[in-house]
Amino acid sequence: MSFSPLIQQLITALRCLPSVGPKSAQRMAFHLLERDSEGALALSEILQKAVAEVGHCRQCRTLSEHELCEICKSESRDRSILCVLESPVDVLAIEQTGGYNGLYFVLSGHLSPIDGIGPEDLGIDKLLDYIHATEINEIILATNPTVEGEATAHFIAAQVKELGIKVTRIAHGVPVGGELEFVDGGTLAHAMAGRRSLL
Amino acid sequence: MSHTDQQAAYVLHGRPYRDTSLIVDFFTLEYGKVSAVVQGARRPKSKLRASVQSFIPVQIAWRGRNELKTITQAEPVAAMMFLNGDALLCGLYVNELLSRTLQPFDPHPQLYVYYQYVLNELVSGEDIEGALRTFEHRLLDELGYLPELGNQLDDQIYLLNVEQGFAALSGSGVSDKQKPFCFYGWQLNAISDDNYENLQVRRASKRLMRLLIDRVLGHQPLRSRELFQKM
Repeated sequence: MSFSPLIQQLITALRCLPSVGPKSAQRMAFHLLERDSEGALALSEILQKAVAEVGHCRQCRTLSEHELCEICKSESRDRSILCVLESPVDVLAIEQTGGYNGLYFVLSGHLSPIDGIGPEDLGIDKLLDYIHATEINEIILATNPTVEGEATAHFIAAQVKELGIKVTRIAHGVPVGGELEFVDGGTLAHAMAGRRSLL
Repeated sequence: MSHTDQQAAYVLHGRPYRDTSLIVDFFTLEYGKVSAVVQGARRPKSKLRASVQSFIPVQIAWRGRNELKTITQAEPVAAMMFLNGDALLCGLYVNELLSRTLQPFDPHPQLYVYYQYVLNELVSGEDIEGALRTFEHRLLDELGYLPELGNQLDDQIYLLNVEQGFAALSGSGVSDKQKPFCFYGWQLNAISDDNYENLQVRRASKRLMRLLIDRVLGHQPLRSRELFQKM
């Protein structure tokens, strides 16, 4: 059985979402049309508004509908420390820890020579402009602990070397509440290599 | 061949596939370059994820009748190698070089050993440049793109034609146009033996390998080399 064209279009459109296959898209479409038309209208309205208005913060490149995002605007943040991340989701992850009070800079991904992604594709030039223009004491490179993330961190570190700014890299370690027995070898080896003196 | 036993391999490169999977290019000992889907490798709790990082020797098994296989098992076999800084970028260069030059299912067991050698040198960091030149030399040799190097007259100047190999340069003087393609016989002899102690040999070798690699790759330059130049 085939659906009427409009329903079919809706199902196809819903499949652009991550982890939504044909079956879930179908379920979502019927739910919206049959049971929650109010919610569907609200969704369509806010979706249109968000896509039209949300852009990148002029300073930190995270997603925001304002020219300057809330974090960059805030007076209470420590402006001498900058945390460099791979994507806007990572800002959220670090904000939720509540343990960081500095500013952010969001790259658009990581360096990956084989895929043809170079520094100019990530906005590293903008990061360097920003660092030059402001007074920063420390840069925390919090790109992902993958080969490409490490390469990105190293590349940025090499670029800011002469500026005499403290450059740090986030630590690799064992998850809180975890047991060593179940941690993968790579993480454990990194955790051992990056051990800290207690006294 | 629809199923294999455990194969020794290294990850050359992984790219996202669908929502939670990766397509990974492996460099295997017995089959050369193999591309395979690693299902669920991008799920938050995936155990496979740590096994499909570059520069770690892994044991993998796959199934499938098409060229794109599906990984059924992947396990690291040795301790994590720490590549940092410039050595890491050199590692990415070597991986890009292999990805670009190897053909799928074209085995090069000797090259695999040289790959292990170059990774070990990158970890120890003692003579990275020499190790890279040795690897490039062996790669070109294995792929059949290396002109005859050794047994040259020490003081003779040779002109490289990337298609046809070396020819002794006769007459006087070298034109500016020929200069980038000229090598002394003693330099070629040293490169042939992978003896890179002399600074001039190193430079000549870098120039020679670059000319030959560029010919193999055609017009698409190596991105990791561009990355180095920007540092």
